[in-house]
Amino acid sequence: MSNPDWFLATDRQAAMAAFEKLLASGGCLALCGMPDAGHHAFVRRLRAEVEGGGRPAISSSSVETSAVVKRSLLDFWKQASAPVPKDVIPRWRIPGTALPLHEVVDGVATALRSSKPDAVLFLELPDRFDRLQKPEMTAIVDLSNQSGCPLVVTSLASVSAWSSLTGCEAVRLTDFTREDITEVMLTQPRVHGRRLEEVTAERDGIMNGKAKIPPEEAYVLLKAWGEHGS
Amino acid sequence: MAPSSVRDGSADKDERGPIVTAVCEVAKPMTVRAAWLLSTAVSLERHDFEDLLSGLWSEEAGHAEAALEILEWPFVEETVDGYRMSESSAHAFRRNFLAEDEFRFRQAHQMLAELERSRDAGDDADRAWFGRGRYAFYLAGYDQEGAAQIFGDNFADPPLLNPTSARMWLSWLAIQQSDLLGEVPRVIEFFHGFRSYVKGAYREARRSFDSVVSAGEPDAYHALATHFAGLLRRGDEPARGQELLRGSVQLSGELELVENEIMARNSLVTALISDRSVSDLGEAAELSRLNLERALLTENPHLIYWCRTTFALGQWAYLTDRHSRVGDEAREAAPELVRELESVVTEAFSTEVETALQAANMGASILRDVGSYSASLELLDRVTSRLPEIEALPPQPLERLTKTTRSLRKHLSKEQLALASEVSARLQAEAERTTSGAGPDRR
Repeated sequence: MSNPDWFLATDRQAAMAAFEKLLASGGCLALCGMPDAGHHAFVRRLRAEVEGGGRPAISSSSVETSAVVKRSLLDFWKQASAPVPKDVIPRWRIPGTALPLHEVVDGVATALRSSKPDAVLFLELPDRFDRLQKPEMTAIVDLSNQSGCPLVVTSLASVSAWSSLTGCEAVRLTDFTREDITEVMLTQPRVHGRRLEEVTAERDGIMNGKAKIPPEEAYVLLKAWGEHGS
Repeated sequence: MAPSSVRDGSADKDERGPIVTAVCEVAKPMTVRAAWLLSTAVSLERHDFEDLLSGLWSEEAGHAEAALEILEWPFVEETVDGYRMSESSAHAFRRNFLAEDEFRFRQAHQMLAELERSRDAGDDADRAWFGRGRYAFYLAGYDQEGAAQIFGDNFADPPLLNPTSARMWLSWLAIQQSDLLGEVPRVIEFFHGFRSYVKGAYREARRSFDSVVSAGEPDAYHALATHFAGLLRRGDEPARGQELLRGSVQLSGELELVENEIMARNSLVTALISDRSVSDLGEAAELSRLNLERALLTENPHLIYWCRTTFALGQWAYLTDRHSRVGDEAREAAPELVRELESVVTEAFSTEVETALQAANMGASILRDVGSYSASLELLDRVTSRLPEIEALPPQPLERLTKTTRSLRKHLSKEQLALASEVSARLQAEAERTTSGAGPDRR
């Protein structure tokens, strides 16, 4: 059976290499890009890699209030904690946004170390409303260090903002070129046996005369192209 | 109402944009409708998504399947709060929805507003505040004036905890509805101005706030914008800045925007003190006293701490003619003012650190002015040794504390100088720890 998310495999060599390194040695990886950089779609691809390898993937993002970092970390905490049996009274109080950020980080790290030490964490766009304060960025990196779990954070901030933090590597999610698009199209059975000129013409239709295309647009147009021919 | 190119239903391929066009070409009509619906929501739980979809297109079938299919598209995000569409795609789908089916577009917003209203915030004032923000977002789909009103009122009365961050969230929501709120352009201009102000893009912020002010509508946006526009003129047009701040105080009073009235008066006090052409600071002292009285009536600790600090600032600036001479009257008043400031530091340190640091700086300055150099240094030492407890520190108070510490040096003994160096080093380390470096990515 073909992979329904094949279009997400558009070339991301630098990001994929950084991710492989992250899985092997831990730490924090920031994936930076414009709002249309396809952050979530790329996380979907990375999650599939993680889960395919038999490791748990824990994602979090939040839009309903402004307390994004803390709320997302609390969500990690909830997901990392083993469910309490119905006949057992929980020993600790329910963590909430009133807890200082460093205590939230300690709590999540402890929960992860005890229940899901091999998990990979994905924190999505904590800066979608407002740029992060440095202590918030530091807390995110600290969580990966304290828990020992690799952490991927997607961000609208620049690569330099994240890579200045110790223990954090940052990669930019750049736009896709014609070559990137052609390469992923060529992986699809529908082009087998067809002339390259035909594929190139379809690729040019997707690119609409542009040399580069924003990732989110590329993913959508490729998926539509795939479904058109199926 | 929407722009005419969208309203007349003639959206062609170019107007729809590549993403909407691609989805429309391959997806079933109900799946496109699911995309339309999702584009209008801040976020939606799966069951609400399906319920609303079947409620909007009740005469047709395939709602559950369409809701499932649309989740496969790469513009759909799964969040703690439910599913949502990424901003760039949502914008295109919203426009397309409005162009193709204006009736249901408005109905969808009404249903989402109702859903939001039905969510019980209980006694949690902050939760209720965010709920009102989302409600205003949905209201923009069918009642732009009403949405503008709620966005403005909510902005004027932010949560006590992290008000700036909450206001940035509200601005983000309002700006996403630019197309709809375009009929009330001042609203969008105001929120752009606020976002620029927080990001330190003061020229853009001033342009936006001036544009709101120039419309001359005597409402909350005008009261808030005159405050910001006044603040932003402190350096180059102080007299005009003070005029704007006076206007903001007056209009806020008339509109019962208590917090903005107090904050604008506070800004006026500091503007008068920093304007060297103002020779008599009696007005600043009187305004700071009045402001403290007003703040005490609000029971809002944030305002009260702030006004207690500005009261001391106003009195001391008046009594010493901006720290230039310390007469008997000032010497007599100093101990009480320092006591008051020290108690602000103690009470506000963990919850209102910016105010606490301003109060500490003011207290240390008064002690320095009256010649109590070691007491001043002790206060700075005490406060700076607690700085690592605080997660996020604002840069300005740190700079002021550094300046005050430096101003003490020539009066200190060798031993005290070592302590002053330690205080300075702490301030430097904290400034480095907390300096925000998260500039935006650029294409």
